[in-house]
Amino acid sequence: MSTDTRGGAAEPLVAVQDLVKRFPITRGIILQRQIGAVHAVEDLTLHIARGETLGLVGESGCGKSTTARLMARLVEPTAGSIRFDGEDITHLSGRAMQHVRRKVQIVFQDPYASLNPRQSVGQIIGAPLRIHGIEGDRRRQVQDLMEQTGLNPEHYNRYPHEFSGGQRQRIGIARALALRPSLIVCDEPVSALDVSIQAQIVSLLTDLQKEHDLTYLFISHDLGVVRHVSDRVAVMYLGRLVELADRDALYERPRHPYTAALISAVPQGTGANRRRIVLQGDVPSPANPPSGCPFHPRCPKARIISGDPAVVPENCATEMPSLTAVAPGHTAACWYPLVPGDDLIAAAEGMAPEVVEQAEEAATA
Amino acid sequence: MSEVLLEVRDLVVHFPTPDGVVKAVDGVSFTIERGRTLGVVGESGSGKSITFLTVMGLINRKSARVSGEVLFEGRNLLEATTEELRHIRGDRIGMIFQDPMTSMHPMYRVGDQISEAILAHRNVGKREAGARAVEALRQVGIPAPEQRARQYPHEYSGGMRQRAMIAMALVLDPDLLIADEPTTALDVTVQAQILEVIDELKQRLNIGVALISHSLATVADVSQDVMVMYAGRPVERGTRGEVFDAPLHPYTLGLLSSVPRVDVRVERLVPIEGSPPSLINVPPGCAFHPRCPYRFDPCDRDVPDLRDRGGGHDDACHLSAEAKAANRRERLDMQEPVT
Amino acid sequence: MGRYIVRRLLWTVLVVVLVTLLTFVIFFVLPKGDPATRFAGKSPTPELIQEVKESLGLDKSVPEQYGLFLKRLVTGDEYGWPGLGKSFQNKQPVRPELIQRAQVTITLIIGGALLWLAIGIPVGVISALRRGSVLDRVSMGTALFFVSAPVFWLGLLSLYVFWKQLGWLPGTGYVSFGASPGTWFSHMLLPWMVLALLFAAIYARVVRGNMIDVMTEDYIRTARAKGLSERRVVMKHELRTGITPVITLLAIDLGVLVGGTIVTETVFNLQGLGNWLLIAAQNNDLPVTLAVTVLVAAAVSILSLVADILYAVLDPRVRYQ
Repeated sequence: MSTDTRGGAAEPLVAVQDLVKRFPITRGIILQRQIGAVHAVEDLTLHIARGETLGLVGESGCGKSTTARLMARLVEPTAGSIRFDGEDITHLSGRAMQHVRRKVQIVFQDPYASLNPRQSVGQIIGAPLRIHGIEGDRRRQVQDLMEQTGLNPEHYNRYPHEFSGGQRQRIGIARALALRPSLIVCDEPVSALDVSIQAQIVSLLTDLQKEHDLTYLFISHDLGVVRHVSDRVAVMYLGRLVELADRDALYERPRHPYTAALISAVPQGTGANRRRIVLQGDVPSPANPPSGCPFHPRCPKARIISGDPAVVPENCATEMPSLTAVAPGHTAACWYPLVPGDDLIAAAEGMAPEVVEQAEEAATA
Repeated sequence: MSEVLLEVRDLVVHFPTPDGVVKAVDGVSFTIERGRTLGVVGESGSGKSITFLTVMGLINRKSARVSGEVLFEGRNLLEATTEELRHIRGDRIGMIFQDPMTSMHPMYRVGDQISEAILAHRNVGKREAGARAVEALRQVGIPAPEQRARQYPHEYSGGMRQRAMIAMALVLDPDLLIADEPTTALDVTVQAQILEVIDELKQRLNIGVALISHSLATVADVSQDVMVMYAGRPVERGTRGEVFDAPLHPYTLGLLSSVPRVDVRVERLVPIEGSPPSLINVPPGCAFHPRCPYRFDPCDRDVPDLRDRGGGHDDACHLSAEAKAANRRERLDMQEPVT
Repeated sequence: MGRYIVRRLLWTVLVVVLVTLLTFVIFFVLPKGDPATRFAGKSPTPELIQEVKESLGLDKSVPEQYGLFLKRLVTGDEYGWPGLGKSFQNKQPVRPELIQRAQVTITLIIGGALLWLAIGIPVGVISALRRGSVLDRVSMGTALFFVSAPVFWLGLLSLYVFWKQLGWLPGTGYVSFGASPGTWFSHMLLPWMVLALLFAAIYARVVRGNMIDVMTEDYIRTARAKGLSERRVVMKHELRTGITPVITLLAIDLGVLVGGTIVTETVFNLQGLGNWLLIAAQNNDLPVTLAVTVLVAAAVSILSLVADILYAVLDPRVRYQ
């Protein structure tokens, strides 16, 4: 993964400022009244440098898939701005957007659902070329793409159902590559695949990145895959960015309690007796996020600060902490970032039942 | 002296279809002991789920050809009548499934769904069954179980539903719990809770557990015994330490070196080439041979049986023990973290 | 819940207003000649036409007429509440005849519905449970036959067989229950069956489809894994989710049939609403057309409200929203 321009003065490929996306919840058939909103993404600010892979991790409802759609401008943001290659694309439409779409492509999670079953592979991969009126020998261009993505070019006339899951994802990648984009948004690209196939696709993506100087936004709930492919990693929780750092710093020295718990929860295959931070309760609903820091109902660090398993410090419960630098290139949105010696395992185990209950209430509200 | 709860011998489950015979399970043998967890690892189509659905008598016997033995409490369950099997399901063997969102009836209260299991097997009153259902919810760590028992599944979060499923499966003190991908549909932080609940209950109730998963790491974290399956057959079987610290079969080795980890970063993943085979056209000889980088002369002809071939535990690969050790060293070198 | 019901009832009022307005517009925008001329006899003089116009209320402007219609509907007229006026055709008050005819039609629909539910649901369930068997194929084939068989043909055929040939049942016409329950029943039996067969066929297919979907649900596997008896799995777990959608279907069908059993009523010479509506529409009899329209619109709206409430009672997920 090329890191030439990282951290330099060069302009980032993508810069997102205070991005907000809310989906209204309405009631009524004809006279729709808005009764609430799903806070999918709240105040997201980040950039992606040219040639880097930014990993984006989080659990269900954290807003990572909405972020993917916002970046590819498949949905329009409620507020905030998105700059791509120096140009404000927040509210572009029509022809101007068409131009940007060539540069930003998306690879979806489910290779089964994202390919038209009635089109041949040649038509599917060639479609972007046709739509954007690219000149040249289309068959040769498509077969070239098939070769690059590890597909047999002789299968040009076959249909999606004749391919395995891994091969279908290769078709999806070939289609994304067709217009020579600069940014590819990978939305859970390996989650639907068998374990033995995932590594093939991950390796293909990293090889293609080197070859074509691609920039990736790599979204996944699989922390292992994200660690493998990313230069920097962003962690989201309930629509908010809670931590962003260089890959190794994030995995080895997480500063946000949620990041630490998330990494700790991943099974590592290191044995039955490994102690891990077991968070209580489920992720709350993004339609009704908790006040203050959205993580406070489940946060073990807040209990260390208060010294009482049933109590959280007041600012955690009432005020959203902003993203602040905790080390060079390392930001976290936490009132009390982790310090060496914090025993989150014990704090998580010691959380009082009524706290767990509150967390569950929040999760099912 | 360990007590064997379940012994499966040479289980075969074939489904004849118009396109050919689907060899879903093709010769599987293992035992599960009291107080231990057997982790069963495999990809989709490896036969891991069908094996245990067959143990439970939950496959359609009319559409399947089944042979072998499933010995439980001194009886071959494959020869049991429908009624005998019904008395074992839910009472002596509990089972939970992948998706807690769809595994509970949406129109009945959670407490009633648990009571129903009690009433199906015990001669107790509804009130007594209801009280035991609440107690079961408490045991799996559901807060305010009295209120929660009166709620419907959609009022529960995903993690709580899986807890309620565990409560339902264990409410009659079975000897064996079969957990089929119990954490796959859940968030990472919730997965950890569920694995912990299963492990804690296993120790407290002294039961045997079969944990089915596609994730090696999940299995490794909570299992004492491990069986790796591929295309309907076990390819490696041993204790957790044996299989993870000294893997023998190239497929196991391939899985271990192709899955990225969170605790170390490796320079390059080594993918397993190709795709899992169709179960109608399973390759001859060793089913893994078309994808195996170490295949040699006998692999496409002779089916290797699962036994201790000098590597310290059971595996089904024609390679010599020395060759396997060499492969392992080579792969583990590539796994060294980059600094 | 209370607020919801009030809102839905207001909605019903709005539907009635809109539907009658539409009827008015159609009546006056697409005239089949001046209605007054038509009702004024064979060789009308202009004075006579004017007189008829006045007596029918057609001398006023259309908006005025519509306003008057709504006002009478709400406050009633000399024949009682709701005020529906006199028929253009026979100059008789609409309301008493509407009540009488509604009794006939409702008898027909309710009896038919009980019959088609009693046939359709069990056939659907059993076909689903024995999917692919001879029984399944025979019942689905029969269902296809009745879905496609025209009602008038079926009606005439049944009259021919059971009345003319076998003489088991009496012929056409309606006898009120009060006059003679036995005769009432024997006269309604054939219309009920003819009406029910079509719907029984539709319901059997719907129920079969629902049941087959439900049978593959994860929670059915869970029910078996609990060790429930097969009987309980079917009766308590599969039927509950398999049959609940039938409620909505039934509500809509009943509502539409209030004015829609035209063919059955005609074949069996039952003086019901459908029959009446047809004649009224042919004869430009505006008050009768409006009266039946109001009744059908109200029936459809209220029945669908009842269905929604029932659905919420039966399905906790709906209640929750």
